[in-house]
Amino acid sequence: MNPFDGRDPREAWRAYDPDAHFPWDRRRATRLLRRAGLGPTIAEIDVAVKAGPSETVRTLLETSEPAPLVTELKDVTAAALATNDAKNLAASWLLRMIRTPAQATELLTLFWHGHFATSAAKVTDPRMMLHQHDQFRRFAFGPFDELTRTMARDPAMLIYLDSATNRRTRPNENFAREVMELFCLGLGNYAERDIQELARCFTGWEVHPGAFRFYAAQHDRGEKEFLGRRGAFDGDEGIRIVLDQPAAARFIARKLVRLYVCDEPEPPDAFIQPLADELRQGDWNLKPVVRRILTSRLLLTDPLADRKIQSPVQLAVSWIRALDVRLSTQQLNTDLASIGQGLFFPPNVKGWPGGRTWLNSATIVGRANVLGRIAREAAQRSGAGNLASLAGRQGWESHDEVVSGFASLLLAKPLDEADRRQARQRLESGPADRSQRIADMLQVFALLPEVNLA
Amino acid sequence: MIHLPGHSRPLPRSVRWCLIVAVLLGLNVGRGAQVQADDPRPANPDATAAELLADSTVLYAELADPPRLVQRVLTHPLASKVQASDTVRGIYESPEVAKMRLGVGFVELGLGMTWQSLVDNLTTGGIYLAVDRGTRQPIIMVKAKDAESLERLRDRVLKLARDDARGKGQPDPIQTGEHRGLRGYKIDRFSFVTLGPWLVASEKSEALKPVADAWLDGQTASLAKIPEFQTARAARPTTAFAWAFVRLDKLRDAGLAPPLVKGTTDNPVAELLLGGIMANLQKTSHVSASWTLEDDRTRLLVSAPHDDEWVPQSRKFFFGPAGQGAAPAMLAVPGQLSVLRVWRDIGGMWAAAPDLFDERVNGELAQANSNLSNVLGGKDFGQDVLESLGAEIQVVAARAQFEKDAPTPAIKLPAFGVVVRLRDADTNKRLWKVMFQTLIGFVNIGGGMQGLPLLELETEKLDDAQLIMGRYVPPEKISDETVVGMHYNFSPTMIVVGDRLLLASNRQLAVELLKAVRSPAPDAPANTATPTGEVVNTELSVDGPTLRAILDDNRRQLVAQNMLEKGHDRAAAEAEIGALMSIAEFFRGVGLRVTTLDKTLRVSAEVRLATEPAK
Repeated sequence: MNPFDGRDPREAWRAYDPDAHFPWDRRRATRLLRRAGLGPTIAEIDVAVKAGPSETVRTLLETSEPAPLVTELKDVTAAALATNDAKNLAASWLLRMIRTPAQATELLTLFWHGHFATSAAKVTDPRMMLHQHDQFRRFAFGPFDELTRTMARDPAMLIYLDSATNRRTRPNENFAREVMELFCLGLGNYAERDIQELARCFTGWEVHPGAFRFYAAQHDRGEKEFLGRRGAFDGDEGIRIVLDQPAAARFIARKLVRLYVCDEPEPPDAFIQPLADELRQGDWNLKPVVRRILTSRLLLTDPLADRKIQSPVQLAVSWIRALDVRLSTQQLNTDLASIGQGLFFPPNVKGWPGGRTWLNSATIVGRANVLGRIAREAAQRSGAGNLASLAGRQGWESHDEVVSGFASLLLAKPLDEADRRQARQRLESGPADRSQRIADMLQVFALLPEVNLA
Repeated sequence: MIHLPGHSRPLPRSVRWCLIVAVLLGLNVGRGAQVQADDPRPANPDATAAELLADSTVLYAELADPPRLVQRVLTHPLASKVQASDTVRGIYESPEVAKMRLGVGFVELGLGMTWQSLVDNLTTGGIYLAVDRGTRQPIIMVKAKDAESLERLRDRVLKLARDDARGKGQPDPIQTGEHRGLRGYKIDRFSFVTLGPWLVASEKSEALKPVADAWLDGQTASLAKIPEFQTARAARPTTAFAWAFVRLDKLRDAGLAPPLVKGTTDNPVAELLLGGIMANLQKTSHVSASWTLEDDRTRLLVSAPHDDEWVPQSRKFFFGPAGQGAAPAMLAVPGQLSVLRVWRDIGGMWAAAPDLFDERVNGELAQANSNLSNVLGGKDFGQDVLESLGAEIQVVAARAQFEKDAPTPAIKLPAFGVVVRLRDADTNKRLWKVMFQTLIGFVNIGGGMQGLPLLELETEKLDDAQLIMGRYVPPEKISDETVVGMHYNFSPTMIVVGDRLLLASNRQLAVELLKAVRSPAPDAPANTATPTGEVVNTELSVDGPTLRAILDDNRRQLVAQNMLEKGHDRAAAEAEIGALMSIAEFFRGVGLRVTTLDKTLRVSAEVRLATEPAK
């Protein structure tokens, strides 16, 4: 039985208003921040608790990076680019994910990277990958139509989809197919003929040399007919026609629900339509839709929201930010690739499917190992001391306080009694160094199934 | 844990180990504080360590005057600078070192003397390490100022150890035994015995007995009487703080040095760099090494008897005919980072490959030869190319200079170049010109597939020299935001002048090498700078200030790399890189030399210290 059945969509998307039954507390604030970004720091949770849900969401959507951080990260990215290695670019991106206060923007940048999936395995010039990546950040909150038009001209995208050349006499259907199937409409909302006609719109759109160029002589200026429209459309007009389809807004809205709320079950159209309408009314700007989702009762009070599995990046970065760890993002990137999410190297044009596909017998162990390594690093060094001093600053003195404190910081669900006992035992019986004992306790958390939930 | 009197809390493990070290540094241990009533008398109370050790000793090392060494280090011109550096202060105040300092403090408190006094008292006569071929156990010998000093220290330390054990309800940690009236002791893993002012210790008590017997009876066949030992010891620099002697012939005979007797190697690069030295080690009777520390340098010198007849035909590529292969006179170019000058007949090594390398390597070399010959128009890589090269080779690295309007890469690599003489230059210069052009072509094909710009081939006449180079086509637009790729460090250049072949990674260095070849600097170190007859086979020199300048050129990159490697923010990364650079200021350079003179092979390595600030 689908748990959405029989529920009122208007009630689900109604703004959450704290009450005695669903108070605005630390746990709820942590959930919101974890869903909206890549994992909060303790300081961010403190601020959110005081500010309340509306103000927290407003801050999430409006926060930008301070100028000194922008400069610092720009230098790091430039240095990574100078090595001509996309893996160093990925490491610099991870550093940004950890350091940036603009968490909502960064989560959406990651989202678009998986949506308009392009791999450095085929696009060997890291400059192109960086250019594409910058567009994802620039258009993180939309407008989605402009983002799509930008991707239609993006050299990395065109090379990846073998559309570096697209000739009038032999239109290349790859990009047109992905625009319809993966980027804008989804399966079942177009016909094969529509793909062929849309491909003609993009003829003459090429990459040469290393940059987009419109080769007018190769453009098919003839009349095309697809998705119920007829005319001598070019690529931009072709995209507009695709996005005019009612399915387009629903497609993106559904993806946003999956990003923020739950991996499963699939919400019915009745739950998606209000968001789709808002997306279209906002001219494809995502902020109103994201605001609605993040402030909704569905996200903040409903147990449906427990059905969300963190991606490897979200899992690792959330622990790193929460524990204020300093570690090698180069090694972290390698670790994340080993558990299924190598940044700049999505497995195929569909990106990362997410949800349960993150978990298998190998990746579950791998994820625990990654978290274990983060915990060990945190034991030795972190931003202002180690785990023991972090616990001290939070006032977590007794073993119970330490267990509860770290559990509420790192786990989406409360510990059951057996797990709590095991964590406490590890804290009581470990080495002399308190920080090391806490790290050992965190290894218990790393092995819990609940650690994978957002 | 050990408790100090009046201290209820146990001392940390570091303190316990400090106390054990103190025990090993010259305890004359006995039950309670009693002096032994009937100590056996030595045959020669003034015997040296070498006189107490048997002639079956295969390894001997000495630190003859530790108090002088400590004094030298503490009063060295660099000592105050090192102590003042932020990095060293940070290490000094780190938790690990703080624990060690705490341990030292407790020992000083318990023994009633500073650690310097402890060293003075306990090690005045030196510290010695030896390994006997029979027992195969290392033994340590320490000679104190006198037996009475040892006894006093012993009593204090024993009391501490016993009080601690008693406080924990544990038995006496010290076991005793006897050998010919001499009392031996065991604490933890170590057994030791005192022989007058000597403490002799080992992990196995059996290893102590021969030394004890020598003490009592005198040693008829001692290490000190071996002629090679006497000769090597006489040649020891008088200023050396440490000296070692290893009897390779005995080690080889006992099967304790398998790499030295192995016939072939699987590492061609190692063979090229070290093959001749390996040939020596396979035949020489012994090796001796000394270490000195002066105000402006520290040096390790390793010497071994050498005879060119020991070098098999397959390794003649290393020392040359009659062992007289000498490296070329050293070149000097502006911004020079390092120079490596060698005598190596690379063609000869290639020809001897079947005798030098194992089957796998020979197979790979054959395949490489075949592949390369395909692109050389049928020429054989080994016979035609490598054998065209003379044996006097010089490899130079220098801080890269970039032309004013050329793109400057974000990562500034040092430029490097090779200078070598060509055999039959008139014929072989054409071969090299064609090979160079072919190389540029291959780089363009491979680079083009990777989206890199192409190398444009240019030629230039410089008086009697012809220059050929490949230059990367610059980007159409460069702004302040453009990150210029690493490949712009390279403009591969070849110059042939007379019988000299110059290859360099960029044009600027190639031109400087040409100038240096045409007009060597009058004060450039040359082969004749060494004592008459000494043949410099290999020399490497690295310039510290230039290395620092290159690191500084790339400081931004190093900081960013530090941020990625360690997750630091920029301030922390800058601090760490700054600390590394400040340590680098202490070094003026590094040198390595392989020379032969008077049937002796010498390998010396030195680090030149910057006692004055770099200008």
